[in-house]
Amino acid sequence: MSDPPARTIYRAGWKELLFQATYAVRSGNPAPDGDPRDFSRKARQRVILSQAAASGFLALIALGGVGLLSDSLETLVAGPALPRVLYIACVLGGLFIVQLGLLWWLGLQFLPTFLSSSIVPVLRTLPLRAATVDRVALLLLARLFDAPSLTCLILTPIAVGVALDSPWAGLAIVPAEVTVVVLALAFAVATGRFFVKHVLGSPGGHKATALRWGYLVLWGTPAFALFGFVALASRFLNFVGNLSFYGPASELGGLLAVYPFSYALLPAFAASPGPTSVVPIPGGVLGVVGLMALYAIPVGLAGRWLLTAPGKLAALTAGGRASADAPRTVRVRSAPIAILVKDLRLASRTPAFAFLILIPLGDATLLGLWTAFSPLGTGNPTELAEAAVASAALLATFFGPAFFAIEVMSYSYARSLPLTGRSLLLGKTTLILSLYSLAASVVLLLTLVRYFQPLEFGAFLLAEVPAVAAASLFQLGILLWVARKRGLPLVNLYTGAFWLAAVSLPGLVVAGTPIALYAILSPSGVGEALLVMGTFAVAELALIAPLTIGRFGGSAS
Amino acid sequence: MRGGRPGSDGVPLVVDQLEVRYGERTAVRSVSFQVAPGTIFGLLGSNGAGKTSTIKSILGLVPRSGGSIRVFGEDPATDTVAVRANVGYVPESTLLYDALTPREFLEYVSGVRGLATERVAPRAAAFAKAFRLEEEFDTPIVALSNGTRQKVVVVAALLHEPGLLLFDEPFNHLDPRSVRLLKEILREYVSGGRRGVLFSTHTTELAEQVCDRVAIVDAGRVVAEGTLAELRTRVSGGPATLEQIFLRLTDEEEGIRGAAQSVRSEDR
Repeated sequence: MSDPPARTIYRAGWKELLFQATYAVRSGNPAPDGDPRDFSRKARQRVILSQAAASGFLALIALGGVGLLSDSLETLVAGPALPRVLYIACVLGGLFIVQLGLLWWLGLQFLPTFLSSSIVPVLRTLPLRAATVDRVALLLLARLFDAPSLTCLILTPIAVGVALDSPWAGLAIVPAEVTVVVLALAFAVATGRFFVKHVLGSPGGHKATALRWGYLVLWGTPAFALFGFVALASRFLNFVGNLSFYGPASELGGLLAVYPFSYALLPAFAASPGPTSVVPIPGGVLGVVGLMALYAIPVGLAGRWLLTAPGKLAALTAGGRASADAPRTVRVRSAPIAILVKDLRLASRTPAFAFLILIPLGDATLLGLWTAFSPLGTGNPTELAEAAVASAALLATFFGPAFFAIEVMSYSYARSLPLTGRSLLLGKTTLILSLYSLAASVVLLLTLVRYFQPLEFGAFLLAEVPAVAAASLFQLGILLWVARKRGLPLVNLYTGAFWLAAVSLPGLVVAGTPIALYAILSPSGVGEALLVMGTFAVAELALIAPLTIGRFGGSAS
Repeated sequence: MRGGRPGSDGVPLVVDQLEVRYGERTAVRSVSFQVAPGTIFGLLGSNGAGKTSTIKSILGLVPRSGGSIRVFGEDPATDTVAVRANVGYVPESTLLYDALTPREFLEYVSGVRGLATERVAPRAAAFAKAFRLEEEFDTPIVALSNGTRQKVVVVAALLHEPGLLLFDEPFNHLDPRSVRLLKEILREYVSGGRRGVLFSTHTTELAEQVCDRVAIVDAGRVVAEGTLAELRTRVSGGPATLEQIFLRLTDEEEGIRGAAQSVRSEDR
């Protein structure tokens, strides 16, 4: 007897995946209220909305990257020294890295939903061939990826073709975009495997915890590299310009031969007909095509691996054993601190949440290092440090609401506890404040190595503390209100993208207003500007804290 | 909170004319019963009879559409935190924080309950030993068997010595040793005469062995309630097991024979 077509099985699985992605009943959320006949439709709408939000962000990145190809921006960003063909290759190479990083990160966001939906393990119990189940798993995973992937595959070639006024350039970028999508999917699945085996199942104990966070930092490196690439793009262009002007050509050739620049050279050649001698790769266009053919081998292998990898990933089970140094006693903390510690422990075994903690810290470290060690001559170090602190504040508050999502991961059980909204709000706000304080301190410590202005930097950091607390309370208050009104489990960043954005933006306004006031007033006096900033931040907290805690201080559910 | 609170009426649970609806569907209809101090009360019913909805409404997890509930005199709809603080709950499905270890999970639950380390640590150690959880105390819950997860959630429910235990199918997944242990613990738990236990089951043998009183629930209604001896008087035909009583009172005995015949295998 032959199996039914994978597509038929996939349709039923997709319906279940949409439901679990939205309502997360298998992850512990209570069954939603309302007419069960509407659940499927609502789940589809929610996922479409979130996919649209994620795709919209990728579209903005693509259009922004391609926008840099205009002549006026080229002069502004790179100056006249860099040959155009190299400039195009650098911009497009950077765009590929950013797209790869974002798609990979997005993959990590929705893999937990894919795994916890348990669709594949259920299929394994049925009399189906392993190849059929593997194909269904691939179809399900690809379907979750489809809108963001199609954004890259379709929008980027069109935008490049239009920006460079060359349909050939648009066509020439297609292999690069296919490679980006295949690699991002492969990285997401490979990292997912690693996490299930070594992080999710990691036992308790100090050594195991340190090791887990070590893995997570390593994992975050590509995401930080993405931030670093954006931050250092201008310097990189100068570096390439100097290399093309002064040599050695072998170094430039070597750099351009590396992925993803080799892929970016083809559209650059297509858009800039003329001598290819500025690109020191033997064979010119043919050499570039040869390199791409060479890279196609590992990419093809990754694609082949992907045919069966999602199915195998879904069947993996974590199997950690306790380490010898694990404490055997139970240590109880106050309710807000218990929530904070629980969040950190969950994040240490959940990549999607770990990123939320590591991104503000990683970003702060990169910006701090840049401020401390870059060859700045005339730049205002105070402004740079303060911009870095502001970025830490905004990143901490932007990602803050997701920690509410951690709370609802096991909502049905957590709801049975005598948890007060006050403890919940204080616990989450403490976490966000800790993130901000740690990230901002890293920036300041690194900056102080070079520019010793501890009073001003410290005052700026402290003046923003009440605003971060107010922003966090404001966001969590909105989330509690939404959760009570709609019974909305904010499962993860991917399926809850709309609500997380709707909550994050007002929070960013609260956290950003004192910083904006400082930026406006500081030219006429730093002391006065700091005073206004601090006073405004305290006023925000004084207004928002009683409102939020008063309104939601009782039972959390 | 050992037993009731000062000033409460001392009765662990009073449910009166409870109704629970999900949209158009009524899951619980005019259900009334009382868990007296020092008793184990069983809700016995088929799947979908309304047992879980009743227990969830006692915790305030599901809003009630009618009737009243009092846990030591407090209403879960208005005194939600106070009621939950005095209740130990084992849900039907053990969906916990998979990424935490049992120790981390118990620390979280104890923190939210505002317990003291000095009180919790020795009790947790004793329960871990009794349920043979020590080897898995620092293994993430995701890697534990269903039975071990069930033990963890049972320990979490007992750790704070609540006045009322709400156990929804608590023996699910447990091995025979743990089943016996839990029965002993429950009996010991109510022996002081102040605390109460409400547990739901569809297994008549368990209800017969563990419960002081039983309510038989069918299609959202209580069709009979009493001790085993009292229930026996409700059915004709001489001495009966709880299973026979249950089937007769829910009019299922004849239906079951017919259903079994309808799915009889051809291979005879």
